[in-house]
Amino acid sequence: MPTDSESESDDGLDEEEIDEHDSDFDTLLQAVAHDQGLGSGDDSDDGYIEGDSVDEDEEDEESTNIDSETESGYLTKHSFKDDMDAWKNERKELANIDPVYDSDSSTEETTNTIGNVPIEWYADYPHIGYDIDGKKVLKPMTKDQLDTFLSNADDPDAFRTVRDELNQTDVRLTDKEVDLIKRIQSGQIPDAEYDPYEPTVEWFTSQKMITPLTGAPEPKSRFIPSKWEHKMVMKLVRAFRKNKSTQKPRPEAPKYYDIWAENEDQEQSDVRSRLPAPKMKLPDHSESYNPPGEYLLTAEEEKEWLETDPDERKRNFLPKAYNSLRLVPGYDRFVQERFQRLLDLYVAPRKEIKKNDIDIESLIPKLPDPRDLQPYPTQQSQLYAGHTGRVRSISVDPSGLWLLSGSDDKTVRLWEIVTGRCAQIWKFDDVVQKVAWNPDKDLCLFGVAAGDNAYIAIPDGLCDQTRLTVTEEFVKAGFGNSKDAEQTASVSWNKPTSAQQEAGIELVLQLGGTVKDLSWHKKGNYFSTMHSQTGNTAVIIHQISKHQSQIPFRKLKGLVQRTMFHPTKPWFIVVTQRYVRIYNLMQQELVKSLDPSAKWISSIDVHPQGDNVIVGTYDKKLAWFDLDLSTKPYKTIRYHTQAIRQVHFSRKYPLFASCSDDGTIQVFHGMVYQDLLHNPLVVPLKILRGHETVGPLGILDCTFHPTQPWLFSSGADQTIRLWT
Amino acid sequence: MSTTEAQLQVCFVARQTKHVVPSTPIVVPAHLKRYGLSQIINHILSLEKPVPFDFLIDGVFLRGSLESQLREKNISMEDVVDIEYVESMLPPKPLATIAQDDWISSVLVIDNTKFLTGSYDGALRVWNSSKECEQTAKVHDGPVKCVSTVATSTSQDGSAVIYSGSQDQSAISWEFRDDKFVPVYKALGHTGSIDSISVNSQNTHFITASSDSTLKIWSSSVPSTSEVEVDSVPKSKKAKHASQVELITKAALSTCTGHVGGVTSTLFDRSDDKKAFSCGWDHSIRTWDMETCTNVSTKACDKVCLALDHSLHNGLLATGHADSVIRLWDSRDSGASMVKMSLTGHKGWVSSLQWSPSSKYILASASHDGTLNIWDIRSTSPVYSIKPEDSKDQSGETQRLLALTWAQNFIAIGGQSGKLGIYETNYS
Repeated sequence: MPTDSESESDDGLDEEEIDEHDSDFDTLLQAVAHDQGLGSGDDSDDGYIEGDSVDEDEEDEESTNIDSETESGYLTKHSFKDDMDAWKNERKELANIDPVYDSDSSTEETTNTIGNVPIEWYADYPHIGYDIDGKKVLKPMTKDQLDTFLSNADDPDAFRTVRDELNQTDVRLTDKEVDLIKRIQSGQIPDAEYDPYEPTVEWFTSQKMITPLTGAPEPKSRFIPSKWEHKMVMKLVRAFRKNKSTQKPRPEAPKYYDIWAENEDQEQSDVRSRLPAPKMKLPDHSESYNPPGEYLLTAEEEKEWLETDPDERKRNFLPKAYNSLRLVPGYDRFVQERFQRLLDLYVAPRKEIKKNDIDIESLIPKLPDPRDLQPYPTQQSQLYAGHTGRVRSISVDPSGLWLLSGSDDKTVRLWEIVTGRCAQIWKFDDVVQKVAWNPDKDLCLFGVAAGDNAYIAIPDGLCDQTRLTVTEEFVKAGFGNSKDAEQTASVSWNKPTSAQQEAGIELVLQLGGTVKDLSWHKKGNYFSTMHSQTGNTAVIIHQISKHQSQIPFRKLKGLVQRTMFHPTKPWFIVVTQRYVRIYNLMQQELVKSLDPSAKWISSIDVHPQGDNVIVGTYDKKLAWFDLDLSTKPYKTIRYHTQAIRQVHFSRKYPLFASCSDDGTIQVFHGMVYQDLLHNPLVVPLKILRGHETVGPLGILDCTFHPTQPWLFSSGADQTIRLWT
Repeated sequence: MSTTEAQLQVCFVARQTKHVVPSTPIVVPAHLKRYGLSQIINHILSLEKPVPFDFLIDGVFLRGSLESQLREKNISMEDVVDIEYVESMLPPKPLATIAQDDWISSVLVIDNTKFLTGSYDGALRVWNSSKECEQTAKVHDGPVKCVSTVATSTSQDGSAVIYSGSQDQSAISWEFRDDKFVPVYKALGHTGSIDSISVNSQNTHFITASSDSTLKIWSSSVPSTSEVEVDSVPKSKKAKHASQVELITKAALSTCTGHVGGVTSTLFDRSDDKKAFSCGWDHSIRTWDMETCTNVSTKACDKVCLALDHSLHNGLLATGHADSVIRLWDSRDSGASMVKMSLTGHKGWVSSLQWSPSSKYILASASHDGTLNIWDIRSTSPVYSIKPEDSKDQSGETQRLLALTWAQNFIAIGGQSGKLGIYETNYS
């Protein structure tokens, strides 16, 4: 049972609670009343048993308190509520507790809130800080030194006065505080009331306690045998009955070990592949505090050491001699050195990096040695000089003895290849854009594109009488039926003037615009011209034997760069700025459109067997197309540093060449295999240098000799060169 | 004298009879070169006027010191070394330079007194030894490409006969009458430029090589009537040469076909008139039987062959090629198609070459690099390389040499510069 004093103190507390939570109290009371009803049924006779309430919670205690107080209520039989009201009225009014900071006497009043800053900062201000409301705390009147001294002399409590700098006030210490200070000063325990030598109270002794610590009943598991233990025992029993060994057979250890055998354990190998951190070098004599003289650096060595980069120094310290270990100063770079070492340990991977053991050489495609691919042109053998302008176009006659060149100096020259003699010169009114021999060996004539005209001429004294007659008859045969053919195309087939006739010009074709290109069909009867005019009339195919011209295309996409007859098939190749289009002239349809993915195509040539095409572009690329393979390049070669001007296949040897504005000719081996299993083999062979570049222009045309592995090139430097 | 000075015993051997030294072994220092050995010989012979000698060890000229040559040839220095010595060939002495207007395509020396040039302007010019033009004969319609004569013919007895081939596809036979070469007949039949012409030693036949890839054999007898009808001459030509004399025409006896490209050079076997050689663009060197006009044997090369000559004395064929190399072949061995020797030293195509008329070792060649080289085939480098002083034109371009002939003591060259150069050699 709670004592009287306890109930009283509780009482006071309760009153306050009641006061604060009025409405709650009603419900609480009802709950208590209900509880009481139940409790009276059970415990009315025997009441509370001492010690029984060890585990009871606080609510029960409270209810008992109320219970004891309201015993009189039960006696008077008044309604409970009325009693409570009466009690409320009668009870003494206590002053409300003001919940301010200093309601607790232990906390001092702090009016200044500036915190832990030097008070000097406020020396120049009239205030010394701010109170909790943000208002300025004015500086109290301060006495000067003399006044202070005088007042201190008078004041008997001056010794216990302490200046409070924060609040700028004098604080007088109490006796208790003075006593505390005195005790601390004398080294005693600050608390006067603390007795360090109290008699011991044996709270926990060896003697047996009267009551157990817990009153919980013994758990069932303590006295019921375990089911699982039973099962295990039964297992053993059964094993015994069957005379079986209950122990697991041990794995038999091998008798002998191969101690040198490779351990294939993954974990082991993992450990092995991990490299140990490199050990620091052991100190040597130079690191001694007093090394022998030979370890000390001379003045020059020291200077050199100081001048070298810290990372490149052989050692990171200067050996120095001290007479005694005491004189050795602290190592100033200790932290940095440790840091570097740890950084090294941390950052450097301590694992063996497995290098892929690939021979780089084996990745390069195996190309045959250029020496095995001879013959090919390697050096300049002849120089054909005489032109006074850029040599734009060259052509070798089918027999391989004569070379024709057309130049910006408005002339066409005929050269004897072996001796380099200029055998004949034709003068034209315009810049010669293109010269081309007729590929037919039985004929002896060539075409020239100059200005708006295309000329057909027979050179003097090159061929015998019978061939000359055949050629002349062939050229002139069409004059009879040329009249009606003229309507089909805006081309006029004219007879040459007498002066032209004297020079050997047999036919003059007047075309609509400046003729840029002229190329023969392999049989020599047809040739195509391309002129600068846009539209479908840019490309015209002419037939010499009938003096007829026809426009093969109703409309033409893009700016035409070149035209060409296919060497083996009835195909006609039109090169526009971006694409190469191949048309079948018999069926009048587009066969293929090749895309070299170039910005501007400059030149084209078809392999003599007809299945491979090379395309040179002004953006320095040479693209090899296999017509059977794809419309995309089989190989793209980017070796030139300037625009490619011309590409050409050798008719007899597996060679092709490209010439460029960078003044070089590049010769390649381009082998095309007969069986379809092999892709063409392209091997770079030789870069021929010799032509000078004039301004942006280098080599303008190149062509192979029809029977020899020789290459002719003509350039902006007004020369033609033969490379053998 | 240093103790380490290497010495060796040599024995001088002479094949000629003019300067003979006793064949007893002599100890000479090993570092001696040609000049030192030559001094020794001169000293032994005690010649008043020093004569330069050249020395051969195992048939190879000594170039450099004895020691290095022996080491190179793996000859022991312990044994007695036989050294053959010959009188040095002196460099050809330039005698005269005669300028003419157009390129010279071919040259000929007749009688040691007359020099004949075939020119690209179509004319044949005859010069005497005092640099005067005795005759200009312009009968060909195109550039004259080749001229040939019989080695024995002289102008004194009036038997001098020359043949000229031209780009106009005709060859003309000329006779010396009244101090002039007069065209006798015109050989027609080729369909390409005639690039080479050769007469046999008896002047009974001549062969022509043409760019139409054929060889034609003609008899040199003067035809009584025109054998080929010239129906229509090109009109432009008619206008140019209105004064042209009409010549008797002659047809070929037979045609040798076999070459695939143009034939650049042809020549009778100097010892056997029934055989002839030719070479051409198809890289082949062919031997022909003249009686049946069949290709007896073919030697394959891999470079275009531009010039060919056959030596009477050693039977070797020398060919000049478009890779600046002169190759020597054994003409008698029809089976062997291997190159016997390669002479390298030219820097341009070898356009013309000829063996020395008397020596079996000496060879002269003219090249597009403008040099005239004299070779001794016992050494692979040229003995002399002569560059005419006018070998470059005003713009610095090298003037090609196109023609060379060697008759007795004279070497005549001509080429792009249009200048006929005449040299005299001591080595006839």
